[in-house]
Amino acid sequence: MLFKASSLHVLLKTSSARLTAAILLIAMTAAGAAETNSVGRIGNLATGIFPIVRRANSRTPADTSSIRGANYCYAEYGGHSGMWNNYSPAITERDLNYAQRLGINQIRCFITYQAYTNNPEQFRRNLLHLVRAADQRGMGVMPVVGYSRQMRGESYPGAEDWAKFLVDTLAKEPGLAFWDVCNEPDYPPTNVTARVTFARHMAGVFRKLDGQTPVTIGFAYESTMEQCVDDVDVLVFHNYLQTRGAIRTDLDRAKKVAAAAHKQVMDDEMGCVGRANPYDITIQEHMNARMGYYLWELMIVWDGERGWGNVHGIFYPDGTVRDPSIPMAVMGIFRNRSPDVVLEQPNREGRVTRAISRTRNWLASTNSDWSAGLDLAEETVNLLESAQLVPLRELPTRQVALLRRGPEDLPTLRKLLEQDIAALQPYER
Amino acid sequence: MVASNAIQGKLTPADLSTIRGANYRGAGAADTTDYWRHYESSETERDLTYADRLTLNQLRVFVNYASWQADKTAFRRNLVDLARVCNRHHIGLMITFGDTQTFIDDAGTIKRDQIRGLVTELVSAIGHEPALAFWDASNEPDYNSAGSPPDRQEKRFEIARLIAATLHEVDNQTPVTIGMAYERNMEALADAVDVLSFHNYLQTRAEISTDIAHAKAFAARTGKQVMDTEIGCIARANPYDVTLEEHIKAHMGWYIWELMITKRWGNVHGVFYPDGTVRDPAIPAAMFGLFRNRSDHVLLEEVNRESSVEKNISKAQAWLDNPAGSWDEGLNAAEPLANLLEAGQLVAMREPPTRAIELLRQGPPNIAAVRGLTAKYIELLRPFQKSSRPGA
Repeated sequence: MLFKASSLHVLLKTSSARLTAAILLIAMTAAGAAETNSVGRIGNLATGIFPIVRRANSRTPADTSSIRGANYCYAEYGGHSGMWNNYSPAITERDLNYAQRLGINQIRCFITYQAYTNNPEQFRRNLLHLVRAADQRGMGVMPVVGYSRQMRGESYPGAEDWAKFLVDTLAKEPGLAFWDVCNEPDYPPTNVTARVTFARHMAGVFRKLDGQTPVTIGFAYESTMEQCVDDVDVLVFHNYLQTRGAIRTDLDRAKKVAAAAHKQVMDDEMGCVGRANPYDITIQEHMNARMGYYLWELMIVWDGERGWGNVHGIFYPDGTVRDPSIPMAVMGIFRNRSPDVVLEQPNREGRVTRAISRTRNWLASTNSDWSAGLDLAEETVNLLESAQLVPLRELPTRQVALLRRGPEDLPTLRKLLEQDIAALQPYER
Repeated sequence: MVASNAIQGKLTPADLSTIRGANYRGAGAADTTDYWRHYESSETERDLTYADRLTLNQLRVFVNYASWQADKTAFRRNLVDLARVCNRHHIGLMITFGDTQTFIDDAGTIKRDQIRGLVTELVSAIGHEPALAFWDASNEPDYNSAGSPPDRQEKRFEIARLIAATLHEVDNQTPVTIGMAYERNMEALADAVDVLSFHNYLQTRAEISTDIAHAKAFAARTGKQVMDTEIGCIARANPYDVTLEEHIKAHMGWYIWELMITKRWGNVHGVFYPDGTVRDPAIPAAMFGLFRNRSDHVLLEEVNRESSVEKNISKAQAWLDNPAGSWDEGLNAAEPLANLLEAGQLVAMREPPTRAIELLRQGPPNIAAVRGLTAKYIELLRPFQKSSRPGA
């Protein structure tokens, strides 16, 4: 059995769950499944699955590559502050039901100190509700701890008390999966040293207060994550890169760093419409690399003025989606981007030709009927959408549905029909 | 009612509104006969894992007289295999008699012996298989190609009745239906079946929902359950997501046409390619009840929120303007443009830009091609350079 006395000394200083993890490592080593590294920590190099601090029967996964997660806050209130200031069990349960439909097994949720100060007891009840509602649906929760400006000042006043409140509230909850003690201390790139120092301090605080829940720091960049591997139980980075090659390289590097540190790793922010980082592409790369992920974010968040909803998100509050390729990618269903595809032929049975002809007749008539025009418009947009012949940011079938609901508006309908037949014409043959 | 006919331990649903089904044949098959002649158990197993991913619970599969005649032993073996693979996946199986016009000889006489022979063989082979959920005695006897003899429909109705009667005679446990092309014709043969079925490839939501309402009203009058065994066609202005939404809302069980993107119908139908990828994610999403927002409350994507459009156009333009720009630099400049177009839903996805880039990466350097695509993507993105978000 390969084992160094120095590592035993380190292990004996850890809390009970961390010691349990260490004993498991020793057993694995005895069974030949693990190896030691230069500082004596042990793990399974062959699989990359290193034991993780976890409470028995908790939602902390034994293997972080199994994580199919989402960042979460309410759609309606613009962000996390809005969520906690307007907490609603009904909204939480509605949204977690949407997550459940996609097989999501972890959520990451930012918590705000301000909501606590508004009403500590109510905030405690709300936190418990979130974690229990998630647990009931088979999901773990990673709270991402937010702090007051004062707490980040010299000697971090009040930060430990805040951490103690959170640990006292949640540490025994089966739904608690991880503590993320600080989001992106390395972004933006000013005062990074001070923020990272604070994050490392808080990681130590949480590790001291809760020895059974893995602690992490959600670094914006893999390169910063590398510098803090000893401060956390599981490594975390974010990735919003612009090409498959860049995504893959980043994931590969994170896995290598994790293997060298004998710790597990995951990406807890990815997917952005406005960063050339399409959800389906980045999810596919993460799945190919067996890298657990939390996409940003479950809901399309927008309160009318604020939120990330115009570049992120899957679900509207009513459970509809903006882009079906996103939930399908979460479920492992991807578009064919290989050489072997079959293109749609919408005129296979002459329907395009007939639709164009009838639309032209309708447009040429001086007393065109509104209802007949709407039916023609619906037929043409159905052809356009189902054969993927047009962009779907502004959905043609939605435009027709809205016209149907409104008062008669022949000029708008005529314009839509003219656009539709122009788009269909190339497919008439 | 199905419930009264349902067999203990079989995969016939007691409530047809729970059906989430698909028509099925192997992707490479040119037609029914070709499918059975080249049947592969491993292919069935693979394709049913795709069906599992969509949580489908029923499949509808065609047989015909010619496929039986081609090799009776293999046909029987393959049919049993299909039923057993279905059972392993907990998917019910509806066997549909296709090409029933072949039971009419040149003189217009119905070949009753052939019908009885095929029905008897099918029941003997799989009548007791747990997966067998329904017999479909005839596919679309009310749809006959232009130029068919004037009595073709009448003859095919008679054949459908004959097959249904024979099935009832030799298998009194499995519900029998006839998959009518049109709801109104379903009503004409209702007395011959245990459960009603019709097809619907209509062009507007109103037509679809009206047709479904007629079918349900008629079913209620007859005291029989009803299902729609063919829906969804790209070339019939009948988008899968639209028709699935209407069927789900109406609690009408459905079978899409069809699970695989096949050689026969693949350019207007189908969900999966043989490798498990899809052509249009909106189709499987709709099968999970996930639909696009078509209400007045939507939030449009703002791809330039963080100036990514401007930055990437600038980078790509710089590459275009540099005669010494490398192949890799060009691809790395073009890929973010393709990503922005796709992620923001700013481009038609019949030919996805990211696929075009991927194929270029896999081939030998072709600077002219990547230049052409880059210039095209820049033009598509230009209207989105300026953000329309409040305060921008």
